[in-house]
Amino acid sequence: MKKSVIITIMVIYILAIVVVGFIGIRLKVYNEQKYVEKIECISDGYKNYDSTTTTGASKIEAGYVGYIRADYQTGLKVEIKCRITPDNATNKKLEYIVDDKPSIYQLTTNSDGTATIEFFKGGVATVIIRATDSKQTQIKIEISAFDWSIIE
Amino acid sequence: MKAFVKKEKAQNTQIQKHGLKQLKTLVFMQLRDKIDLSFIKDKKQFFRTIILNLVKMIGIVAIAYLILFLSSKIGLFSNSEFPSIMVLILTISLGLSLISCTYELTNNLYFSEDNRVLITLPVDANQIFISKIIVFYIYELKKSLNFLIPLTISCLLLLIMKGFCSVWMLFWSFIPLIFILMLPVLFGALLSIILMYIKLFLKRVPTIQVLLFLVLLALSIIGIVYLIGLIPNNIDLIAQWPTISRNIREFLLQVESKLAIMSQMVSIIIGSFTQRLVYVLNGMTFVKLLVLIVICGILFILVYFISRPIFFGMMAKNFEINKRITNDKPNKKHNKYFTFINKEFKINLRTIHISVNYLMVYIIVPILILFLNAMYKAMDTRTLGDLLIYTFNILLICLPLLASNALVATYYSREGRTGYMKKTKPIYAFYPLIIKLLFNFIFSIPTIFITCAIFGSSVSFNVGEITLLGFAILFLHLGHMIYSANLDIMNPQNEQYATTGDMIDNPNENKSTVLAFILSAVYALISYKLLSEASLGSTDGSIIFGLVKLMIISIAFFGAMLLLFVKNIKAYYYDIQG
Repeated sequence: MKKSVIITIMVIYILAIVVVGFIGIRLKVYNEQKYVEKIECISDGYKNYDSTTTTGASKIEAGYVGYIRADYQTGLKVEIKCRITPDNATNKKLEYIVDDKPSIYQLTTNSDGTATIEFFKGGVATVIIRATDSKQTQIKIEISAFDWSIIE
Repeated sequence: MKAFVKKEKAQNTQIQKHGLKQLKTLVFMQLRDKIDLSFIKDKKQFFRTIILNLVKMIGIVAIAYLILFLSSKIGLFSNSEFPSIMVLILTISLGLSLISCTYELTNNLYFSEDNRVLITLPVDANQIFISKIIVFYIYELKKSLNFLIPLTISCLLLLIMKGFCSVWMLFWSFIPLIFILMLPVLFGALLSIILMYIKLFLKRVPTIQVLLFLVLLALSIIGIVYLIGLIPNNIDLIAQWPTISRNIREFLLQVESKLAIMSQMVSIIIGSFTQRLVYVLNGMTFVKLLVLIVICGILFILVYFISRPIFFGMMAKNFEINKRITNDKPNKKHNKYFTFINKEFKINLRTIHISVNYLMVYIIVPILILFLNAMYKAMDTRTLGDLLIYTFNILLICLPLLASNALVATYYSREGRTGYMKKTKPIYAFYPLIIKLLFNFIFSIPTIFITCAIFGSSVSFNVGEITLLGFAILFLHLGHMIYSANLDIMNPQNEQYATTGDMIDNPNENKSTVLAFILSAVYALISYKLLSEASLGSTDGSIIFGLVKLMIISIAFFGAMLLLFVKNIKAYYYDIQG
């Protein structure tokens, strides 16, 4: 076989790989921005409101999805942990919004994306957990610390 | 006294002139055997040939320019890497030229049939040797018009378009190329001595020849298996493009730094890079060109003093009849049909160096397809990709197979003057002519089916589909084989083979190769159309339907070629003689 024939076949061979590699592969979106679609609270003691009960229904109507109830004791800290969907969301960062009540509680955001609320006395905190990439994706939960010493 | 010196001087000049004239005659005589120069005599044909060749070269330049332009556009390499590309092109071209020159010079210098004729001519024996080298060099120049020169021009055009060098560089580039192209011929002439001794040794001990072939085959299979192992699990050219592009650039830089001699040669062609960011011819360029000319001169002297004595030795040996018949066997009468099969079998064995050409293709094709499909397997393809995989597989199975049939276009002519004896044999000429293709055909069957099985299994074809595709390609191959044989019947080159023993620029080979490319491309396009229709169809077994259509096309082509073959035999072997 002549040199030019061998070279031409070699070029076609390489082209065959390159053409399929470029225009034949399954379409994919590269550098796609994946937004947070859903936020779920997975903290210990967290429960969703039951829509069949009167209290549950009124809370849901008020925009709450769930609650955490704890007994107050000095230095009570409640960790707020959330799971986001999809797992591979581009920006997984969440923001935690609470009413400013420094005499009752204080919320701190942790480096791992969770948040901790520290109660100084018994009380109720309404926490809005919101995705930073899309303001519409948010949940509102209620965290209450009941101080039994008031009754005593 | 003065008159005597003057007379002697004039005599010397006349002898030199006469010598040059003889050399010119010798060169033209041998060139006529290698290249069809009949167009020189006819003015019309001369211009037509020149224009056709010019158009062909411009076409190659345009394609190469487009490929290089697109490659630079997609970021495969940047403007500063063009010299590296030229180094790569020059290395590949000169490397392949060196291999072909060494092989062909071994045959043409030491084993050529025309040595017997040339030695009887009333010329200086040195002139014969020099004329052979010149003929080969001219042929190398001609060959470079198909690859090295157009590619160099396209690289230079890109550099000119981007403002890196002036238009004059296009004209200048031919001067260094003339000397650069001498290198493979002169090195080939030196290396041919070693190859000639190896050939003589292998001729004496054929077992080693077979063993060597098997070792090479085993090594190539191990190499391919190793390469397949290196293929990553996931190939995504788009996602991995930055990495691939960076690797290619690094490879090009490596090429330029490792092949310093080639880089210097490129710097003679395009000039030196200056601080003004342009390539210009300066004093250094001319010094490098001078060094190149000196190297060519030294090589020529080496060739003249080393190769020439061996050439004369071989030439004299060739001239003497030194064959001894050791075992006289009585003639045995065979069946007339079997006789031709037996004859072809023996010819295939005795001219194993010719048979190896198609045997190598038959071994390489399945390996190439295996490697190609291993690459495809690592790609996550969509429907278009799957169809392209079918098409490229069929194209790359057909291309080397059909291109190898160029050898078939020389089969009858290779018989030289004995070829005409076919007309005297007591059998219809079709039989001995078709039997000539038998062994090539037999060896192609397992290759085609194994290759189709490799391709079919990687795209989940069932046994029936693989068999259908195998038969479709087999009939196409057979059809093209018969077409190539037809070319040799219509335009026999027996005289050329009878004189030189080999023919470098056989027009039949060229036509067969061109048709191989056209046919493979058309066949691949048809298969794309048929298989795309089949894959879009909802009924089961639609791929089979597409393959059946493909096979019908192949059978029709084969039938037409066979009919043409029979008609040509009737015309050229019987009717024309009246």
